[in-house]
Amino acid sequence: MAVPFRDDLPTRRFPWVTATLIVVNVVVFLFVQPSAYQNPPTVDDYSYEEYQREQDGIEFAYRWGAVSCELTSGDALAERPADCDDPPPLGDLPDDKSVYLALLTCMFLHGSALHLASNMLFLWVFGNNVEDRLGPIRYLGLYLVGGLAATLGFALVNQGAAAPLIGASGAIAAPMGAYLVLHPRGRILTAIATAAFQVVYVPAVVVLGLFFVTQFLTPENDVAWEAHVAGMVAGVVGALVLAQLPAVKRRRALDAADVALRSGAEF
Amino acid sequence: MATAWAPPPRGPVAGRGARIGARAIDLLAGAALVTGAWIAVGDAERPLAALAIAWFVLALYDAVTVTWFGTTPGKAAVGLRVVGLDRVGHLPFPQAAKRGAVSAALTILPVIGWVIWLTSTVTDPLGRGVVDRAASTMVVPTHTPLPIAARDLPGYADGARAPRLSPLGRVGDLDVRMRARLRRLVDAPLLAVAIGLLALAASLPIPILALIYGSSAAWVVAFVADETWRIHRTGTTAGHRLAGLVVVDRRTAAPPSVGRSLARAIVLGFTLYVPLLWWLLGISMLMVRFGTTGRALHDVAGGTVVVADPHLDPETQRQRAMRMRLGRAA
Repeated sequence: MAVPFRDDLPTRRFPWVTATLIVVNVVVFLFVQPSAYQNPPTVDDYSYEEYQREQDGIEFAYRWGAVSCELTSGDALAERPADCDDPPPLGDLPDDKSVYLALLTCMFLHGSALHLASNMLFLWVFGNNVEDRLGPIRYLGLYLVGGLAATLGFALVNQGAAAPLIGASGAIAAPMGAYLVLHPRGRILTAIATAAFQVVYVPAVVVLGLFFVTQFLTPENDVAWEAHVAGMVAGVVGALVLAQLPAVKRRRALDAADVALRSGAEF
Repeated sequence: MATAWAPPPRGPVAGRGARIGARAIDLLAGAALVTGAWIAVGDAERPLAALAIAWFVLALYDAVTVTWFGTTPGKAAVGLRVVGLDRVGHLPFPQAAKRGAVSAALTILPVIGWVIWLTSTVTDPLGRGVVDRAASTMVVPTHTPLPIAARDLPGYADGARAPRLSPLGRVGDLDVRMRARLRRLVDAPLLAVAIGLLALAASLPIPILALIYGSSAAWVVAFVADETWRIHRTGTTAGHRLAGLVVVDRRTAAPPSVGRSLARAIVLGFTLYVPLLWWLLGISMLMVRFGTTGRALHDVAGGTVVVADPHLDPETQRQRAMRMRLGRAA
């Protein structure tokens, strides 16, 4: 268990894209997604309103979430595509769903407040420095492409799955991968529970390496670890490519000069 | 290597009582606005959205009043204003918004947020709590001459309490030493890797209690070995060097012997990393904060004292300590 709080790299400009992405994700979760996501329906004392809220939540996930076998077949689940493993458990599926639009929308939805909070924490810690190095447009591109790669990677591994995939974590894994390439010497203030409980600055390589490796060790649960892996790999590859651009090289030289100046003046 | 110290002129500092009174007035006004917003756009099925609305309204209240009037209504009522460091006139909106956002976040976080606001504001010599530090601001009496130079803030802080001098030099302060601990791994890649491997062990099929005890024991052993070696060899860890501090034997003014270093590391390792002994850590912190020589339990065990590095120019040392205190060490 390791929870990052902040890193020790200052940014040159305010990370507008990262901040906007966080605001969009939070606003969508709080005000657009059905209330069942932030206020789970009570299962005992089953009133009709509670049942209806639960159904709204499920239908919303099927309408706007990415479903693997929809992506592979191109047909919405309501049309009962042939190569779906297990048909979903309810009758009221959206039949006017745009299957490929869900690739985009799914990465702005979250299953619970904790899911949202942890994703936004990771996005803030790692996103701001990556945005600072790449510049806002390239960074946004990396984020969105990472999200697409994550969802497609998940769909590729679970081709017949009919469960909806939601969450920004695949997209956020892309800036995390890019951080590894662009700021390998960064240090992350991390709370650690299993090397005695402590809070300490840990090298980014260790934190991100840990994140990557643990994806393969997670026991069967709701986490789409394939999406995290695909997103992170996309981030690493994307950053390696983008780092060759002259504009990015210039920013890198500026950062290096800053570090030299600081250490020269101080030590 | 003690240096002469004269107290710098005391700056204007807002009274603690006035700060709390101002906060109470602002909270009442904020509560009225939040209630209005809930009636206008609230939804009983969305409790977290209601919390977000409250945060937004409170942050906006703070940011807008501070941008327009240079103070919030509550602070104006008790004769205080909010100023930016190194700047005259009202705060620009981005800075005021940052201040408002942090302040509102502490307000909507029940108990924990309130305690953080209260303790950080009351215990800081300048009354600069979490909110002011986040936004580089300070709350001062209305007619304070501006600007307040950030350069002078260490002077302000020192002015509240004289630096403690031991025969071996200026004594390291508690907050600097605590922050230096966070940088413990900066030049210790092996320990960093050990942390990674132990964290990875959480994925193994081991019972949770065995995991916690086993990994903690392994960590303490690695830590004690590393700490002993470093303190004996150079009297410092990376954090100490970044803060301009050094651990020396009280008798010899040199880095402690292996034995003393080991004793110190064992006591430190247990108080830092064994939750059952955290009450000892609390005692250590009180000793560093209030003791005349700032020696914690592990210093007593090792016969050591943590002081300003005598090989550094005193002003350089003071700046390093201040950067560490501000969370801006290299």
